[in-house]
This record gives sequence, C-alpha cells and structure tokens, in this order.
Amino acid sequence: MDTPRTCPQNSRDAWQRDSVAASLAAMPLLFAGPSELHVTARRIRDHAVDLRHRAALLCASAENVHWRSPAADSFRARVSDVASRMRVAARDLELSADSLDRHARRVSHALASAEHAVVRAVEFVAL
Amino acid sequence: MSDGVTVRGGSHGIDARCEDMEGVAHLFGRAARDTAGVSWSMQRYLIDPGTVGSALLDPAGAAEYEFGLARALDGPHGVSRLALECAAVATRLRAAATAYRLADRLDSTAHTLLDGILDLPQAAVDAEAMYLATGSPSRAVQRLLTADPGLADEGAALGIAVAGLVPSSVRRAATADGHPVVRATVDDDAAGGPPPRDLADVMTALAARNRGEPGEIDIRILSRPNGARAVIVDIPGTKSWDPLPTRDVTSVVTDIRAMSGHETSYERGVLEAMRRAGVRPDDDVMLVGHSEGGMVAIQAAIDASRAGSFRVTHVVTAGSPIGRTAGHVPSSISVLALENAHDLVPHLDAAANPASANVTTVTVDHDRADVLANHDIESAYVPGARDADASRNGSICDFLRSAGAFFDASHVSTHRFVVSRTY
Repeated sequence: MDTPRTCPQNSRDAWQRDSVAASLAAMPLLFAGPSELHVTARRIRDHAVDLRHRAALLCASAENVHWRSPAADSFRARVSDVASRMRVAARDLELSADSLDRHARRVSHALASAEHAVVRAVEFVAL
Repeated sequence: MSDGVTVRGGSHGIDARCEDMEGVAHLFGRAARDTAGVSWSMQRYLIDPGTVGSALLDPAGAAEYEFGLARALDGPHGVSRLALECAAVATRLRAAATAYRLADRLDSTAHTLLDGILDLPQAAVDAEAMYLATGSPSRAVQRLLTADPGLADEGAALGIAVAGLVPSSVRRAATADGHPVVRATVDDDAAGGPPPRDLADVMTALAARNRGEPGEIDIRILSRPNGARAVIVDIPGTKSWDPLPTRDVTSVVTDIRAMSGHETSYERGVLEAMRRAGVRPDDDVMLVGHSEGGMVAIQAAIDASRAGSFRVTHVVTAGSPIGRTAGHVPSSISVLALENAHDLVPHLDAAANPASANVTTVTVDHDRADVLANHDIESAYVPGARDADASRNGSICDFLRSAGAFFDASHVSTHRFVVSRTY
C-alpha cells in the first residue's frame, strides 16, 4: 500500500506563497487598506448629509422666527447665504469622499497587481 | 411725517418676538458648536498616517482626495468657516433680541417723557406770545398744553405715582363701578344713514352718536353685497366729570378703571347691547371709540376674544389713552389708534402705544389751539381720519384693506342703546 508522499518542490512553493501573502498582509501596517479607506469615505458622506439637514433646519427656523423689520430681512438673507454655503461644503465633502473611494479602488488594484507580480517573481526564482 | 400723518407700529412696523429670536439664536449656537466639532474631528482624516501612506500606491488619487477634503474643511467656504459664521449669527441674534427688549423698556417711559421735555421751550414761547396777544392767562396755559401735549405724560406719571400711595381699600371704594343697565332707545329696524365707505365715514358716524345722551351707543349692522354681515359699534367718550359714584356710565370712574385695563360697567353694557341687537358670534365686528370709548373698546375686544362671545376683528380708537392696555389685544384683532399730535388725552396714561404688528398708531396734526377742540371728534378726528384714508403708509393701507368688510355694505340698520349704571 502506497503512503502519500510530500513533494519537496510543492512544499517549498507553498511556503513561498505563504511568505508573499504574509508580506502583503503586513502592508496595511504601512498604509490604510482599501476597506478602511471606503469606511472613511462613508463617514465623510455621513457628515455631508448631516450638514445638508442642518442647513435646511436653520433655514426653516429663520423663516419661522416671529421678527419683521429691515434687520430681520438682512438676517434672513444672511442665513440663506450661510445655508447655501453649507450645501456647497456638503457637496465638497461628498466630492472628496468620491475621490477617496476612487483612490481606494486604485490602491486595491495596485495591491492586487503587486501581489500578482511578487508571486510571479517567486515562481520565476523557484524555476 | 408723510401724507400729514406719522405712523408707529402696524403691519409695516417692526415686529419682533424676542423669545423666538433667542430660540433661533440657540439653534445657531448649537450648529456652530456641532459644525466646529465635525470640522475638528475630520482634520484627523487629513493627517491619518494610513491614508497618507496609501499615497505610495496612488499618489495622484491621494493628493486629489487630500486637496478636496482640505478645501471642504478649511477653505474660504469650508466647514470651519461655517462654524464661525453660525456663531456670529447666534451672537448677533441674541444682541438684537436684547436690544429690542431694552428699547421696549426705554420706549414706554422715555419716549413719552422726553417728548414733553423736548417740546417745552417752543411751547413756552408760543404760550408767552398768546399771553401778550390776548392778555388771558387761561388761553396762554391752553396754548402751552396744546403746543406740548407731552407735558401731560409728566403730570400723568406723577398722578399715577401719587395714586399708588393711596391705600387699596380707598382706591377700590373710589372706583366702585356698579352694574350695567342697558335700554334700547330706537326700533331695531331704524335706518342708520349711508353705509360707511372709509375711515372718515366711520368717524363721522361716531361724532353723530357722540351728540346723543350719556351712555348712548350705536350698533350698526351692515349687510354686505355677498349676503354676509358686519357690525360696527360706536362708543362715545366721557360725558360726566363727576368723580363720585353716578348713574352715568361714562364718568371718571370708567376712565380710571379702563385706563388700567379693568373691566367696566360701560364695557359689559356694550357687550350686553351687542347680544340684544342680535350680533352673532360669526359676524365680523369693528369697535369704534372716542377717548374713554376707545379704552372701553379695547377692553371689550380683549374680553370678547377671551370669552369667544363675539368675533371682534378691528378696533378704531380716536384720542384714547390705550398705551397700557393695547398690548394685551390678541394678535387676531387689528387696532388703529388715531391720535392728534396736539391732543392731551392720549397722553393721560403716561405710556406710549405698543409698536406691535396689530397696533397701528396714526398721529395726525390738527392744532385748533384749544384743549377741547384738539380732542373733539369733529374738529380733530374726522379730518385726522381723512388724512389716514389718503395716506399711502403701508401699515395704514394694510389696516384699511383688512377692514374691507366694513366698507362695502349696501344697507345698514342701526340699533341704539343707552348704557347706564346702578349700584
């Protein structure tokens, strides 16, 4: 009865692959991984949504305040200006979140390419 | 002064509810704190070592993100700047509310008192000229008072202070008001003259009623072209200067009580007469009063609104000291207070009328160089009402527009009553 034999060549390949994987896994210690970057982008987007809600709330409260005079008119104009700038800031936050998502995808792609290149290099050396 | 009138308050005046303003200031203060907190907490994303390190793999993408976030947070229109803007709005709003409170406090005292003092030198010159021309001290005093009716504020303020020293039991006895007695004097279907078309017509009808016996009031039911009804109640002023208890409901006791915002037999009699004339709870009602009648009208409007017995929508007063009571009129009721700049009587409460959205004070200028003539409906307030009708002031126009239901009637029937008093 034959007993299974381990091929020395195969075990060395496995060890090399594990080493490469471990090295790549350690890379997030140097920089944030794509998933972390996506989480940050989501948080930035949440802040943008909050900012938009706050702009709407402030606008409504300024409209409803019982105050009528020329000063009240300029107050409402100013609040309207602040609210529209809040919406602009919210849009800027969303744009930066979008660019962070794009960056995360590129990082992900770069990591995959690096992993693939290292594996190929290890295989080449093994041959 | 424009159009011959000076206007204070009303729909085009300043109207501010300080509690509202402080509430919104609080919202902005919280927005400032929260926004600053968000900006501060997001700064760490900019310097996060992991994100910065990821630039090794995508330098251009990382730079684009960092630049965009930095602009959104700290740019000229960024979140940090918005936090400061919100804080500034909150501070200004609180300051405005405080200023309004302070101005209100000053206005109710300084406005009337200072007016009297500022006009005094010119009034003294006029009085001296009158004395030299006529040799009559009484006419010189009249000239002094009509040229500077604000002096009455000082006298009234002194009188109110002295009255405060009198024991309350004595005050109560002196101002005992009795109970109203209402008597109809003309058939309910009596013709009431032409329907009013403007404020001058309203004032002319009040002048006609004022020529009647003491306590005589008119309740004029107007039939409008659309079938709806509106009601005008004419309430004349003081006819008895007897300070002691008397059957005449227009006596000084009513003046003292109404000026301080107390219910009077005159007012209860007016409301009883309205019930007996068939005024319905859904009829639009305008109360019109001269002098004491204006004070009674204000108090009747407040009490009718509180009880829900009648739908008083408008009050017109002429030469009435309503500074201490008009502020209690519900905002659903529009008040137009006509005051002749040379009439002493509106100053007798030593308080300026509130400058609120529903109280429009129209000061007209009709100097007859006589204390009584300057207070008289026909010589001062009918022409004053004409001035108001002709004015283009926004507050007056809005008042007259809102009172349109009283100016388009095709028929009017007058119910006449005499209100007296029993003890």
